[in-house]
Amino acid sequence: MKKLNRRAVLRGAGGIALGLPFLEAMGSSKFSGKAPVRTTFFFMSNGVGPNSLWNPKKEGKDYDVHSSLLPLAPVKQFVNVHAGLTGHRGSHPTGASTMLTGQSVAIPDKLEVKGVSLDQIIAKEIGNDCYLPSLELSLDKPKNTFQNNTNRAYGGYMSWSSPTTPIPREMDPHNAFKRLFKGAKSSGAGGNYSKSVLDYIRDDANRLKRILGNEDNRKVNEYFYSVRQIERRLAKLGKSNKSLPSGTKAPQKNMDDRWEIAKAMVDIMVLAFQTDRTRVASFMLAHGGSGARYNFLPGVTQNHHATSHHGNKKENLNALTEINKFQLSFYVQMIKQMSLIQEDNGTLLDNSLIFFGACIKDGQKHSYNDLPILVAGGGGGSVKTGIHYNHKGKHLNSLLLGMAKTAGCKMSSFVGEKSAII
Amino acid sequence: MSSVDKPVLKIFCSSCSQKLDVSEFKSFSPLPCPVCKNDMVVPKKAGDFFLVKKLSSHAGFESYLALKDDKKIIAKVSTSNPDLAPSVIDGSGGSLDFDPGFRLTEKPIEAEVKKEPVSEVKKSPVKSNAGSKNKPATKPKAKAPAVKAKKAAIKPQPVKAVRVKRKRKSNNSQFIILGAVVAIFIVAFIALSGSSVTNVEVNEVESADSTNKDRKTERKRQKELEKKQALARQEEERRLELEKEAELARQEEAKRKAELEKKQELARQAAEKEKEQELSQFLAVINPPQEKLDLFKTLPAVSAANLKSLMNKHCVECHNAKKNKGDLNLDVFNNQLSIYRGYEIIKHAYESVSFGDMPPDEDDISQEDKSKLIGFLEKLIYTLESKPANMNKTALIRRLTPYEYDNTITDITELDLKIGDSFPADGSGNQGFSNDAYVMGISPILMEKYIEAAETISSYSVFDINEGIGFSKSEESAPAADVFESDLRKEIYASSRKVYPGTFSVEGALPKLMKAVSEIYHKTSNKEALETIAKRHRLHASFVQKGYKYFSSSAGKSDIEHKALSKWKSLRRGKVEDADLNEAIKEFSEFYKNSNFFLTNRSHKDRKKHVSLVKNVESFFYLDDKSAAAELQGSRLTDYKKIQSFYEFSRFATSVREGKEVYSHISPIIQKFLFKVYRRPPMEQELAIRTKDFMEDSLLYGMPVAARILVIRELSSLNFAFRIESKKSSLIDDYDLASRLSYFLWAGPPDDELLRLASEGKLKDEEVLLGQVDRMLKDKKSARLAKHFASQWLGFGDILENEGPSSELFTGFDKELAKDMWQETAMCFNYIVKNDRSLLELIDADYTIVNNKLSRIYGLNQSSSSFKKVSVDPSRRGGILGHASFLTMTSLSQRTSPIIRGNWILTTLLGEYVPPAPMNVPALPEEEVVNESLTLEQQLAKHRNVAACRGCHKKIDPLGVVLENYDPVGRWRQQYKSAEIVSEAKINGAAINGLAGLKKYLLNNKVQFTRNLSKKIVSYGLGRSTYFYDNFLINNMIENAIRNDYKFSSLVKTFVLSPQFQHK
Repeated sequence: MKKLNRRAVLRGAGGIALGLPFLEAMGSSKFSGKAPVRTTFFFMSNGVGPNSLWNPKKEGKDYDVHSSLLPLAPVKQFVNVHAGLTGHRGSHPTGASTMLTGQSVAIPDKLEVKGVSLDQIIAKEIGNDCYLPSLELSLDKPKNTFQNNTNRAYGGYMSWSSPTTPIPREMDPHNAFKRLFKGAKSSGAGGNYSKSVLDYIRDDANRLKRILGNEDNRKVNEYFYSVRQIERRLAKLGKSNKSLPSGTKAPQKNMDDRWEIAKAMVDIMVLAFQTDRTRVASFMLAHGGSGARYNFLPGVTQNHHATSHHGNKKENLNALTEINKFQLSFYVQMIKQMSLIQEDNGTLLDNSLIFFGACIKDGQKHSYNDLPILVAGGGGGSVKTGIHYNHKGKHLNSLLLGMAKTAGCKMSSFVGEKSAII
Repeated sequence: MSSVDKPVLKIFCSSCSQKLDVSEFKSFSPLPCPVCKNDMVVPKKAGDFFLVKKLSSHAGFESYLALKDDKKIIAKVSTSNPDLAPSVIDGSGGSLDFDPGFRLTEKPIEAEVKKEPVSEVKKSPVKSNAGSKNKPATKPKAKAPAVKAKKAAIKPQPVKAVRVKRKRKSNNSQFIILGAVVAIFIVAFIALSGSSVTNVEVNEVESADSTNKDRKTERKRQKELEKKQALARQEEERRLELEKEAELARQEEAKRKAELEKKQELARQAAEKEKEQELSQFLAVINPPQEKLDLFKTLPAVSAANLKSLMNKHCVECHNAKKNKGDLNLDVFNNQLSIYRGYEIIKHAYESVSFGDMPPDEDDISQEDKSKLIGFLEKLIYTLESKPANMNKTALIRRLTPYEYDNTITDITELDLKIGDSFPADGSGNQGFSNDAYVMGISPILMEKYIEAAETISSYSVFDINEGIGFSKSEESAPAADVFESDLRKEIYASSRKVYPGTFSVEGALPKLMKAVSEIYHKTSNKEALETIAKRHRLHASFVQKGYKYFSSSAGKSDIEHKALSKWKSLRRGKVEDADLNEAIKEFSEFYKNSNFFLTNRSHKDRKKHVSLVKNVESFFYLDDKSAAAELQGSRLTDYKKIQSFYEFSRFATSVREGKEVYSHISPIIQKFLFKVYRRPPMEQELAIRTKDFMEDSLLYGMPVAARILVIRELSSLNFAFRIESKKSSLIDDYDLASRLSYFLWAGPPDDELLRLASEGKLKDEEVLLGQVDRMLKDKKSARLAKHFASQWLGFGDILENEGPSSELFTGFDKELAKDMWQETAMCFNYIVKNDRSLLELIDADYTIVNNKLSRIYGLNQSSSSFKKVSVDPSRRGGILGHASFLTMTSLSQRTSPIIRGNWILTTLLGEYVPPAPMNVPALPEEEVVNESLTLEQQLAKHRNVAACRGCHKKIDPLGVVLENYDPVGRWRQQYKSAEIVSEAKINGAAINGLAGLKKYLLNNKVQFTRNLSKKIVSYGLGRSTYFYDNFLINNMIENAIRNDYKFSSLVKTFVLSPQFQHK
């Protein structure tokens, strides 16, 4: 009998064709109206240490950068430093889950928060026109251990689509790229029985739902939601009006250099915005309480978490600064790249808001005052950049609310916070 | 009664020896030393005893942790008769793990180190709020049988295992006796054969001489003879002597044997006694009350009212909704449910009342009421802890973890694709396992991965009409859909031609058929006419009839059919010209051919349009089984097979209307597949829907693709990816039990044997179930227990992910070596599981399993690159604490960390709760930064002198310090930074030295270790956190472990028979 490989079978039979070639040039690269505001959230782990390692001395315009903020120098005219914001009580791991949900976690020893994270709120409101409502990336797996009565898995989840649904994050650039750009070609003749398979899957689950009791239906509902999301995506297949720049290549498989992986992730986010495959992205540079080792950086000998409990020792503070600079460099990379991409009304950066922040200021004290927060991008023209603000104890939720509003969300408050800053 | 005449009570701080008069302080209250802030407890004096903490209370007695002459004991104090002197229940001294913080004499008495590890009375790990039972009995001996009887009623003990064990023991001793007897025989045989050889020589000499008759030589001969005889006599004497010696040796041997036997018997008895003692001490600690309440009968009527009235009388005045003193409202126990939910409060109330903290003024409660209340609360707690089935209903459905997914795919398809690796990682529940149902959700990204994975797997699927759905080893060898279908079509036409001799084909048979039908239109359609017309066109009558039916009624429903038949329809009435007829036939044939073309090359939408035409046309090419067989009888049997395949195809072609027959053929194929995927037989409706869908899909895409769609559909379904248990009753059904077993022990689906037993309804039979557990533990798949359970519990999976020690400083350390380290620990764990060894071998063993690389690290002699079991010096290696995996993963990149090692032993191995380091205190590693002027011990001591750190670090540090002889990659070292390493430390005043000392210390705490492991097993096996109501089960597991020499299977078996495992 004749042999046949998988791809041929799928093409012949009209498969779901998830493995098909990548999006090709099609249509114009223009938005019909004003370009949408793209939002990105960078999460950095374990805090930046004392003020002296982060905060610029000069407030207002033309602020100075030093220590951990040094990498910001070439792009600081695009970046606002939001000093003096207060966050939520939490430890290294739980902090990651509190930052965008705007409140402390619900049950420390389970995996449950009190609300939906801001990136997901924005994605629901403005992301639905895109292939992916939001894109979640990370460099680390969530930790599988349980310590001190706290589930360390919290540290791996920054985005929550419901209080009990943490959103898993893609950690492999190759997979992330594939997920974003695959299948576009099959929108023509292909995609034939994908629809019927999804119909089957949904119908089967529906029947099962009737049999199951209430307590199990939480899981079934999550399942339904996931199936619907895929159906939605299939419907959007090929409707994107933007194309991948010619010569774009998918990242390699199985990369293992942290530096290279992070760079590739930034590339992917920029590409996703550029091609309007998504409008909301988040990227965890490490999970909350990460013990990643950065031995390739000068002077770094201990793992990240241990370094952040610096005990005010000089060698630890220096090592921590190196790690922070490393983390910040990817933010800077993104700003640079986006500032070079021209859209109808300004650059891609002008039509973006890029948040960078940690949920704790000083790992040593687990302090959550005067958080290290940066926001870059013009927000579609409404945000002036290059300023160092001191918000003097205002809540971080104010800034998050401001971002959501600038991104086009019609919300008047976020977790009870009504005053917006941006 | 307490305030009348308090004796003067003087104690000395055990840390700084400060003398204190504590007569004025409230008994049992915590008291920081005013000088050094050491934590002390105010004792209560009772006779010669200084009571430190109350453990439990029973009618007339209370038991306490206490000091007597500065020795730690458990004391029994009579409450009913104050004149009765207190007595010692347990005086094991140093092994009692509590620290009152004070001494009774100014100078510390040297802690005596016991030679034999007397089994300890160990507190269950004291959690901050969890309800562990700390209750040594007042009358352990008397209570034990009652406990057994009660447990037997609940049947959680593999009593058979106990019996088997005993039998084996006696077998062993029989072996020894037999061996001894054989040895005696051998000795005797050697002795006898020695003497017979001498005899032979003598005989030979005699016979040689008797032939010589020469007289001259007679005398000489005589002399010689005499000489010889003398020699013979001597020989004989020697022989006798030898015999005597042999006899003596025999006696000696017998004596030795008897002694040995006696010794062995004594050892056995001692072991038995020790076991009994251990058991009774353990039972004394958990000591449940004699009776248990039936919450569903007595409680609402009598007991609840009783409890309520007692509480109203003594507690509710302060602890009500309004006053809410101490943040506690006790006015809540109005019904059963409130009592179940109120476990934590009840436990708290019990502790407060029995420790004498509540009510605040002792005079407020009569002794009678107090013991009533305590007794009642005690029973209540026991009842709640031992009735988990009634509280366990919220068991959530569990999704397969990524590794379970992979194992499941491997077990049902024999493909090892490792797809799960690309799934998003899960978090974990409170015992640290990622299979916890509560924390596992499903998200669009995971759903996508499921479908993608299912798609990949489906490309390996092979479909065969007789064999059903299978999987080939590689994607390439799976047959292609279109090839299969076109082959089949060719076959159909070939076969058809044989059935309809001559020109049968779409081109040939269709025109003939249409001509025949048009003829019938003109004539009357009686049966005779049909036969005649069919014969004339050399067609089968039933074929013509089908065609007639189609062309006259059912045709033209779809667009395409309508168009295809428009010319034909206009001809139907009246006389038809041949030219018109031919044109109508030609048009119809064209459409039909195009439909075939559409079927393979066009889009879904187009296909849908055309499929009904094809279906209908092919339906009248269909012959029913009987007529085909009749026609073939005798003459064409050789073609029958081909006709069969034609027949099969036709059945699908006519699937919807001719459903019954197709159903009966295809349904079992699908049933078989679903059975594997669902791990249970599919429900009737599930099967019906899928069979129907399969038939529809096979029309559209052909059967192999239909099979692929089914594979994708099912592997993405809830039924596969989740473990959904039947809702029928609280007792799980046999299939669910099979799955619980297999996902517990194999992290994968049940195999054929388990499913067969489930289908026969035998799996719940205790003997069958335990037999299966034995089989499963011996199966090679039990290695997954090491890979997933042990690796998550002990955390040695980290070694594969973390960067690990610097390979510059520790040459030879790399990812490959890390893998080997992982392998050693996994294999040692699996060795215990597979051979049902004692679980204590995790702590102490005289062997390990290494390859040449690890062997070099350990300085052993194992030159093979594959892993082999080798003997080791237990004071250097053996047991996980000597494994490079543990020693490496608890080290920093450049040096060891005694704190991380100690913390790991305390929390991971012993399951003790260590609170997080307070905020503003630097984390552990920084404090150890090497200070040249101080030794490590001095640095650690510095750490321990900080008040905030001392509480925990005095427990943590010593456990790690004694392992300082092992460097960050697990190599032995004598020196560190050119200073001799001191691997000695003190825990609770007792010195432990090196790995050997640590092992001994841990073995003294084996009950705590076993408790922790049991807890982990329960959590992993059920995919949920453990709760207070699992304590009863966990105690049972420990009890059976003690009874069965800590064999690994004893924990598993007790768990598998428990209501937790068998109920939802």
